[in-house]
Amino acid sequence: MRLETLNEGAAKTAVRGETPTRWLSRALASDTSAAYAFVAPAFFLLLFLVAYPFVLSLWFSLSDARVGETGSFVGLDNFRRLLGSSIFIQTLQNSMVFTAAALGLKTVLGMALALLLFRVARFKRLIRGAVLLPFIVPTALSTLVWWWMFEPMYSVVNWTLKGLHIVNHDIPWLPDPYLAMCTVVLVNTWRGLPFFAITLLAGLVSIPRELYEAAESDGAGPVGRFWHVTLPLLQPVLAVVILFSAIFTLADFNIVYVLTKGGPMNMTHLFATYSFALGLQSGQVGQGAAVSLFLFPILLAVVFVQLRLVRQSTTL
Amino acid sequence: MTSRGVSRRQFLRTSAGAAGVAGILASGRAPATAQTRELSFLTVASFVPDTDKELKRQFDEWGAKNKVKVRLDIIAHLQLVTKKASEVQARSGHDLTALGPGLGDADLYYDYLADLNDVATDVAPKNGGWLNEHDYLIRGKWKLLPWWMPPFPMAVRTDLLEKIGEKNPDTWEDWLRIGKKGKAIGHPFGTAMGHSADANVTLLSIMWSYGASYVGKDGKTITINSKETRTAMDFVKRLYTEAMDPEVLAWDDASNNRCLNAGKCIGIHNPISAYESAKKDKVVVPGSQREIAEVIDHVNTPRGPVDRKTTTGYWCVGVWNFSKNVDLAKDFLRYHFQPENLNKWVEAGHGFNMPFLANLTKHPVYKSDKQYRHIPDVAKVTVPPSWPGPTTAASQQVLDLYIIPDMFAQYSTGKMTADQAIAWAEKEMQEIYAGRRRKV
Repeated sequence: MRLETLNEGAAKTAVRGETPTRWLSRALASDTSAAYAFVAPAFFLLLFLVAYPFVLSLWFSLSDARVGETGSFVGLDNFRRLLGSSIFIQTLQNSMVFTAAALGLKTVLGMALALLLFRVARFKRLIRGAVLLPFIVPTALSTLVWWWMFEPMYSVVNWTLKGLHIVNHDIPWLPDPYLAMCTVVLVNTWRGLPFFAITLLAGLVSIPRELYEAAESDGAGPVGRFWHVTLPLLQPVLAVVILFSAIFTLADFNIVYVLTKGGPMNMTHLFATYSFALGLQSGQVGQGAAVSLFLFPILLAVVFVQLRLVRQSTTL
Repeated sequence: MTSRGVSRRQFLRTSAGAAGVAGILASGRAPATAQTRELSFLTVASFVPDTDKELKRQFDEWGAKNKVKVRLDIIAHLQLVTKKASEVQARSGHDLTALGPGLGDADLYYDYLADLNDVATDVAPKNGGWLNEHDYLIRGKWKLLPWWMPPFPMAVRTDLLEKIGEKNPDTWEDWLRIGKKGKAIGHPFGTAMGHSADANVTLLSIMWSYGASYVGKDGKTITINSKETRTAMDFVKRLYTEAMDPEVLAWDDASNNRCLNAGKCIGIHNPISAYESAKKDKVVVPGSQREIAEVIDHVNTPRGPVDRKTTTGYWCVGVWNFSKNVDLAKDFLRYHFQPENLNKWVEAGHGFNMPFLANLTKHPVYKSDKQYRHIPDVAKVTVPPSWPGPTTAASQQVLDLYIIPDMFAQYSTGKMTADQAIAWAEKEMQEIYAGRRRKV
């Protein structure tokens, strides 16, 4: 079968002297042309909203662009300078720790929450809807509430802990570099948990009951059933959820910006917040883009490994 | 006579109309009669909201007098960074814009700001001249008008001073002593040491007071690695460990206000906004009926062994050169900078917003309340953050990345030795300055 482009078709109709309307209806009548026509809007949308910004940021990262200027080509100079910056190296470490910790927590807690939701019989819809709330509320707004809860002077968390006589002094949630990292991980986990729970719940629902019955008759206990039935069958869903969440977590901005602004001592800066500080606050668009694009090969590797795992598990 | 139903008069009317439309399309401008002149102004919300009301009143008044439709957009100061960048990137947006905090925007956006030499020259003599004219010239030009600064005195709780047997402090060492005594009774001294503008201000003030600086007069030589910096760092470490709580590492610009007004801090280095809000909201001392504003006093920014210097947010105003209303914008600036208008505006701000003009530092508002008495003194020792070097995009970047607070924090918390922290800051600053030089 030969693919005929729309332009070729138009040229032919012009020669034949057909009216454009007649030509269009004829063109759409052919399956291939109709397919191209329907795909075209999505293609152009991707071209302008994804490909163009990506190519532009790639160009920025290889240039000395500043706000308002396209800049000139400097090769890998921005990346070389970043690797010589201790703030960037710290940012790189922070991003890895943050993503690994948040993803780990979201996977374990998300699975636990999905299993709980699966068992809930009363007020099922209400509870499932409520679980989604952290994911629905605008992040900047909900993070402000978290900031208030961990605020250095009047933390309601500290007030409660002291009131319950669990601690007798204020815990420096945000001033301490390590606790600050724990706090941003906690807030990110809280926000991302519903995505894991609801998606895994959908996966749980689709597992045939007969498999559990068979496992039970073979003498498998709850742990055995989870380990040998639930987990293997949820693997494709889990891989996709982890993949998406890895991308979102690694690129997080709002939580860190509202809670710590990358402090104390740059110990919570992530790629996005450091890129913002360099690219927008300081006007070094080229360097800011280089920070953002540092993510790209990492994410590419993550996506590649994840998709391979998904393919393997679905073809088994 | 008609031909195919079209009269000669109709034909002439249609032709004239078509020619007119073609002319408008070709010139890209609406005809004079249809043009509505419009001027837009982007500014940041003041900590004393009456300031914004007065600015709006003046803008509306000027618009009505000149038959110009005016639009004043007020945003939170943290949003200004992205707004400026996007307007420059798109070469479109407001005509007038607030710039800052700091003069660095004039260097960063040098190619996109209209020259304001004429306006700066016009408004200065009427207001007794600029305070430190050379500080505001960027590459020898007026690319912005320095608009207002909130001077940084020290706010102190007089009742607590009495309790610990102290009088109003004057030096940084006095503040260390008072902070130690205050902390012992649950009322520490408070100054931000994290990623906030206030942290830059106070820690730079301490550096200068101990004879240190981060960049030389030439605006190129990084001078942070000095024995004076080490002395300043030792002092800050003592201040942090002996007189403050660790929470200051995570403070934002409003935290010290809250600390003072909640009755916790014995003193803070801050503009008078904390006092203003305490007075307005009638905040009381915890456990008593006494208003906290009654027991707050303001004293001069502290003196160190070498000098008495401080800095602040240099809020400025500029006109984008891609605006179609540069002349109108300049006209409004001339109007706003008239002595009577600036006087009303300073009065509305209760002295929080001090213009960089000599006569305005003597405004009657500074005598209307004893709390304001030291503000003109503070203004006299206020210098741009890059002092003694010129303000550049690089000097601004040092502030934007909070290199100085991080240097102090890393030593004070024991994460690094003094030498390591200074070497770290020196390397980061050298890279920033070198990166900016490559472009020129």
